[in-house]
Amino acid sequence: MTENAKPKITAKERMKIQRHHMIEQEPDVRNKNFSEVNLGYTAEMAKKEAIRCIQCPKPTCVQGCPVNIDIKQFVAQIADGDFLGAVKTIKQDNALPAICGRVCPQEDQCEVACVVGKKNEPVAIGNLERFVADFERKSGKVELPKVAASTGKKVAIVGSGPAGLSCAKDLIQLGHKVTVFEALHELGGVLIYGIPEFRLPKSIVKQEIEGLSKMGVEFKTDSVVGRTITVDELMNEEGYDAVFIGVGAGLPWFLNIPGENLIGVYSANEFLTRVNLMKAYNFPEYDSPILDCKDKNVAVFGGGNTAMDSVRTSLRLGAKNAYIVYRRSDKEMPARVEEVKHAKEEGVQFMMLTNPTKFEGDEEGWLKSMTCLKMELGAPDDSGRRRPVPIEGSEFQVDLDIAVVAIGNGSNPLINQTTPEIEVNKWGNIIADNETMATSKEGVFAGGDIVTGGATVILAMGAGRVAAKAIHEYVMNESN
Amino acid sequence: MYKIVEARLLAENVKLFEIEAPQIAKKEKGDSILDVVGPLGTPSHIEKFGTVVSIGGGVGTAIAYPTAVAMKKAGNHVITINGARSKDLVILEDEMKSVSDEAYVTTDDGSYGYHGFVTQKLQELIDSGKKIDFVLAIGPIPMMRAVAEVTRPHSINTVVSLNPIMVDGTGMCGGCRVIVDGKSKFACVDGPEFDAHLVDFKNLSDRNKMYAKHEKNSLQQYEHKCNLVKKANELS
Repeated sequence: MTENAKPKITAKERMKIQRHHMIEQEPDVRNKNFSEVNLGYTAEMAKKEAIRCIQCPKPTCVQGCPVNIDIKQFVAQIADGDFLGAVKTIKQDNALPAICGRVCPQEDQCEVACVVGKKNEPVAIGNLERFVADFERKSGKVELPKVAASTGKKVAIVGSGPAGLSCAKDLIQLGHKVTVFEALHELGGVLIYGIPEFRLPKSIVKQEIEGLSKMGVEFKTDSVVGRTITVDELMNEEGYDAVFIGVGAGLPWFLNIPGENLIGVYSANEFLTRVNLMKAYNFPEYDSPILDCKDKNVAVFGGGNTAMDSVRTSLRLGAKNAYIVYRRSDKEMPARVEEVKHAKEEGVQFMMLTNPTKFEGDEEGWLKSMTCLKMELGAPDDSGRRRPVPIEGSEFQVDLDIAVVAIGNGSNPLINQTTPEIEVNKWGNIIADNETMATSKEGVFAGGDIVTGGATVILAMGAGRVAAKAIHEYVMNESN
Repeated sequence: MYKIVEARLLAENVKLFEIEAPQIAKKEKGDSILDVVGPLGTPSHIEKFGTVVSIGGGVGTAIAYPTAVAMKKAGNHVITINGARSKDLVILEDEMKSVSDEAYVTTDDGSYGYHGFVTQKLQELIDSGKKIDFVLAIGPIPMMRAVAEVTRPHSINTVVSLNPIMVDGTGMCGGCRVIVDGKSKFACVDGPEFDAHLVDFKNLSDRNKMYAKHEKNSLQQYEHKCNLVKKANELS
């Protein structure tokens, strides 16, 4: 408890406090730069927002959180002005609060379960998480968790994205020797190559990884498990007692329509990797280029967060018209409400209930236009969403210079090709036990998008933690 | 960080690695490269076919060489055709010879070896009645495309090693997709070797020109920087 005690207010006064919205860069300014859109809370705003929490006896928000952070406790600590204490509470369950505070879909998780939200807007739990994580970082008082005495056991982690990082953190704390293998030359996986700077500053990801390094986690880049080294080699030759596979969903789907190999058609993975990881927006200072978006027509296909990231990136690269082309309606879009709102404010044009049928190009193979069909919603499909049905004779053409396909990712087959005894389902996702994340191969565990298909950062982190617990039990069991 | 121990990088040391970027070409013994990753992709299919012709065009010879070595080891009668624009651009001549039952060097301008293209030499071999069971061609796209057209009428099993633009090389970006038998394939994981008679070379050739302007710009910037450094060194 700090001296700065909680002001006593009545329930009625509490109800009157409106949800605090983070300070943001103005849309017309931010759509021309790559700096973070949200600027966060001030300490005053955070405390006032925390006071909105009614401290339910049975906090439903905690159940709503995939990793069950003690939300009630940390929000109370913020209301008391004990910001560092609040971070400590969060870190008991979540290794990466500065990241999750930014990219978690709180509106579908903790905040949707908030009791305050029944009559008013819910407590801004995500914004508060972000605030205290940033407060700790800026204070320079980041405390690294204690590491247990060495167990002499070695665990290999494949992939340095959210699943791998959270798994690594728990295992190093338990005293195991942990090595993370990353295919790319930089660490962080989708947090680095996928999610843009304006939504998740790379310096934050780097600092989290540095923390893990300081705790003793070893990182090996340029290591493509399944190609430059196999899972069997890790276990039989390199002496790892267990392996965790958290390689994500890394095989882009395309639309499978004519003209998709024209110059100017990118997968979202390629488009975002060139910009985020390879810093193509700084070409020629950085060597990897991207086709010039300045004053061009850019269309992004899909309705998820990756689609929003791509289309907002194209605006920042100077696109004249930046379209989202989505075959269903607003309601079915899987992207976070905040991302869609931000995209609209920044000038993205939404072409809803629209499906591309082909791309047209010139003789040299450059994309020039697309043909689309208008859709209407029919009966619900397997996903429970109403199936889009084409409207006959509704074809129309749109001039186009760059197309970005952001309709999701399949699973990368590299590990499966070299270690076939790790069973996969018909989509190529690794089959893992729900409770332990154990795969069909002894000593091998898996979690994150490679198991679930494309999902969220927090779910991957949750899976990494579940696996870490099971891996600990597995390697400490003498009979293994 | 990878230290360069031999300035003249031999094919054996850099099996899947093209040295075209001027930044790399200017490296000296003792210099280093920050990141190298490999081997990637699907390994070359090696078996005893009978008579194998291994064709390398320009720097492609550096990639053709280790495959020729493996084909020889597998018990094939190995014929190599090592082509270049002119004499001073011929590489790995001795190495190619050492694994060949028959070795030919061709130059476009006739300054060395056989005067003509690798395809002309290949055509002569076919016309001479030699039974050829397998052809592997690695080099510039027009060369690979021409080889495919020479062997197609004779239904000779022909494989080309493609070099589309790649980002990660692990199947994550899809930038290296090529059309093979009407379907999209990722050269980085499904390739780089494909049936020459099924490849859409026009699409590959178009796509490889995607960043031509950027590459030129980048090279100019690089040379400008080099000149500045040189000037600064002269002045100091």
